[in-house]
Amino acid sequence: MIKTLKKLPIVTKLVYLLTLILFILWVIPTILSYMNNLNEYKERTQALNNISSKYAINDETKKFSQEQFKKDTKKLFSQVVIKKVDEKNYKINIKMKQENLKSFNSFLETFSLRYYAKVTQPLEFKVKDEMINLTMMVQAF
Amino acid sequence: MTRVPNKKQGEKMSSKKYVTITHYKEREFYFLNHAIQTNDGFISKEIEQFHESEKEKLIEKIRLLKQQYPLNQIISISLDATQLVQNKEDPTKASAEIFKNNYVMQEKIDIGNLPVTLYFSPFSILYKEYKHKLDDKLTLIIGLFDRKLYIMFATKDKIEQSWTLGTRGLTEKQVATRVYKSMQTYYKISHKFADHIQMLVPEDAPKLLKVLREELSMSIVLKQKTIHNLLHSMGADQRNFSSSYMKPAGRSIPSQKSDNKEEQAPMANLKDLSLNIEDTQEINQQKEPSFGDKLKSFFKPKAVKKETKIIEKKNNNTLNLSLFTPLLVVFLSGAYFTAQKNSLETKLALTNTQSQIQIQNISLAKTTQNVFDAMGRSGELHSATISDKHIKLKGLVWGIEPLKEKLNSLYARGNFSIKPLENFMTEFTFTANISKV
Repeated sequence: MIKTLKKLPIVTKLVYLLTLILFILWVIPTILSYMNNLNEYKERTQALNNISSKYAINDETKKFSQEQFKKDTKKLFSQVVIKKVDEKNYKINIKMKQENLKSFNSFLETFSLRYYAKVTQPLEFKVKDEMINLTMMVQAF
Repeated sequence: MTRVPNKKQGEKMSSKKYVTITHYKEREFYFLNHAIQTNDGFISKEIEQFHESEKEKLIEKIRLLKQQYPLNQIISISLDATQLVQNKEDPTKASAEIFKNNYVMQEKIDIGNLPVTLYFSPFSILYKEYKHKLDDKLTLIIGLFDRKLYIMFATKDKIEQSWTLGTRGLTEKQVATRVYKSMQTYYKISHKFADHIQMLVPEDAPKLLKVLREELSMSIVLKQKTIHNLLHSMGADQRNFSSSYMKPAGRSIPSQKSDNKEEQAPMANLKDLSLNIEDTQEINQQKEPSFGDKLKSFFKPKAVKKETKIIEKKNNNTLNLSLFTPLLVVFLSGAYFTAQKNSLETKLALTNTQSQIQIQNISLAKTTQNVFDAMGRSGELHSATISDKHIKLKGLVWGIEPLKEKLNSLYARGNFSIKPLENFMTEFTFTANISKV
C-alpha cells in the first residue's frame, strides 16, 4: 500500500491529500453538526407538537397573513380590525365582550403555534360597558 | 529469469522454438505480439490489444507466453522523444551503441513494471533497416513511430545528426514544412544536403509521404513495416541486438565489452529501472541543449511542446480523470451536507423562536387573566397596559383595601394609589414591574 502510494505522481498525491484534508476538516464536521442539529430539531418539533395536541391544534403552523387571521378570529370576537403597518408589522384591534376574555387568553397562548408571528408587547386594554377594546401589534417572521 | 540464446543460437532457435514477444504502448493502448523465429524468418502470430487499464492482464499474458516458450526474448521500443544520437557515450544516460562511436541516448528508461529483455530505440531500428544502403553520400532517414518522426542524417561511417519531430495535431503539410526547415537549418550549419531520403513508416501514411515528396522535391523510398515486425526482426539474430539494445544508465559501456559478443547478455529485467518523470524533466532542464534540441525548440510551437508533454504524461499513466473522482465525491458530499445543515439551522432557529414566544404568550395570557380576575367586586378596570414585564392599570375602586390587597398579593412591589373624583367615586391606579421567577 505504502509502496503503491510512493510510486504515485506528485499531482496524484496532492489531489489525494487535498481530498483527505477536505474530508477531515470540512465533510466530517459538517455531517456531525448536521446530525446534532437534526436530533435537536426533532426534539423541539416533538415538544411543539405535544403542546399543539394539548390545545387541540391539528393544523401546521402557517405564515401570518391578514386574511387568515381575520378568518380564524371572526367567530371568536365581536370585531377584528387588522392594519398592515409595514412589511412585517400589523396593528390589530379586537373588540370583545368581557366574558370572552378567556377565549382571547386561550387564543393568545396558542398564537405562536398557529402562526409564524409574535405578539409585540404590551397589550393595550380599554374597558367600557362590559366591552373590551384590545390593541396589539403583531410581527410576522 | 531470462534465457539467452547460446552459441549455436541460429540453429537451435528453430528447433527449440525461439520466440520473440514484442509489446509497445501507443496512446492509451498496449499492443502485444509474438513470433516463432525460424531459419527462414519469423512466423508472426495475431496482435493483441490491451487498454492501459488492463496492464495486469497484459503482464499475465506475457508471463503465459514465457511459460509456453521458455526460449524467448521480450522486446519493446522506446518512443521517448528526447533520444539523440551522439558520438560519445554518456554513462549517466541510458544508451545503445548503434554502430562504432554512434550511440543513441535518452535520459532514463521508463517501462513501468512490464517485463522487457531487449529495448530498442527507433534510431537503432532505422539504422538496422538501412545500413546496407548507406554509403559516403548523406542520406536522410525518417521513421514514423507513434506520431513522432525520428529523423537522422547518416553516411556509412557516421550518423551526422538526429532529432525527433512530433506530428500530433499537425497537418501533413505542416509536418513536411518542418522536415524541410530542419533540412535547411542543417544545411546552413554543415553545408551538406541529403542526396536521397529513406522513409520507414510502420503505419499507413500515404498522404504524409505524398506531401513530403512535394515539399522536399525529392524521391523518397518508402518502406512499410509494423513495429512488431521490426522488433521481431531486431530480436531474430543476436548480431542485431548484441550491442544495439538500450542499456540503463551506469551499466558497462559497449566499447568496454568483451570481444566475444555472445557473452553479452541482454538486460535481465528492466522493471527496477522505472523512473519518474519529474527526475527526467529535472535533468532535461540541466543539460546543455544539443543541435537537435535547438531544432526542436525552434520549430515546435509552444502548443506542440505542451501537447508532447501531455502525450508523455498520458503514456506514463500519471494523470487520469478518475484521479479527481474522490475529490469530486468529497466536494459534492461536503456541499450537500453544508446545504442541508444550513437549511436545518434555519428551521431550528424558527422552532426555537416559536418555543420562546409560546412561553412568553402563556405568561402574558396568565397576567391578563390575573389582572381582570383581581378586580372582582372591588373595582372596575377602565384601561390596562399589560406586558410580561410591566403592568399599568387604571379604573374605579369601591373596595379599596380588598383591591389593594389582591393586587399586592399578585405583584408585591406594585404601587397602588387612589384619587377621589368629583362624583364621589374613587379612581385607582396601579403600576408594577413583574419579576420573573
